[in-house]
Amino acid sequence: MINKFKESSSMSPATGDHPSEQSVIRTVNFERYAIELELTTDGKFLSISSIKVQKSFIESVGSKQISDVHDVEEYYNEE
Amino acid sequence: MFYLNSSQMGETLRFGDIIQGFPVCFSVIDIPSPQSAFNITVSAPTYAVVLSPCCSISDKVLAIAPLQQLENKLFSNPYLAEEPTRINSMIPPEKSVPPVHWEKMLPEKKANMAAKGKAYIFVDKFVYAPSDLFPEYTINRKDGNIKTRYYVVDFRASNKISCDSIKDPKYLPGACKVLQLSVEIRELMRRKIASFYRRMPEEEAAILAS
Repeated sequence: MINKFKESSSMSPATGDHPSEQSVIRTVNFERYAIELELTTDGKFLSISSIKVQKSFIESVGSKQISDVHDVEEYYNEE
Repeated sequence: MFYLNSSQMGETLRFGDIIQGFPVCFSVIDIPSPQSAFNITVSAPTYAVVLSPCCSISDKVLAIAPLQQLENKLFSNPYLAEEPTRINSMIPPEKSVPPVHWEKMLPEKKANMAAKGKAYIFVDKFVYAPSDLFPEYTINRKDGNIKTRYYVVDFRASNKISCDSIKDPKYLPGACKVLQLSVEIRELMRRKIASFYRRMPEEEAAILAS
């Protein structure tokens, strides 16, 4: 998840900053990511609120890591 | 150091020890059914390997497997031919197959192996380094015969032995214990046999991930 920066008068707006106007959060799934978009109430893009790796992707990676074997016996032949 | 020297060896049996004097047997059956006839083959290998975990060597039960000669095919990979005990550890993808097959391998398969990184090959086998106790034998290859004293244990060949003398972990095997692995090598073997049993079929991994 991308860290959010606090608003500061000395800094220009950055990804994750919360605008002062009224907004809604909408989650869009893109490949393995769940992207939270911050939109105005009439649907205009304001910012990317967060990017998360989807849980199902994490689980599938976790299960693949269980395998620590190269299945290569087909490449070995008796002479 | 692969083995402890005789002055360092413990008196009790341990996982991975080389022992002698124990028979091994296996049954052979064509079509399993309650009425089928079957054969039982009994042999007395010169040496066997203790496959019971150290803490489970008790209650008159011991799991062992015969110590066997290496298969010819292992020597088709120069990386393994140079040092067969390399199969005891995880090895890089490009060293996992004979070079000629690595060059011809489909890019997708190569990418899968690269993503996995170092991993075991021949996960059901653990190679024992040469010892003066082991007889030399010849591997016959087209590119020349190889004399070797390396041996291997196949985890799939585990046998149960009932032995009244094995009453508790303090069982003293006496002359039947021939060699003991160093702590480091025994841990390598422990990790590999754990991986042998831990493998999960892809279809089950997919079920658990869903």
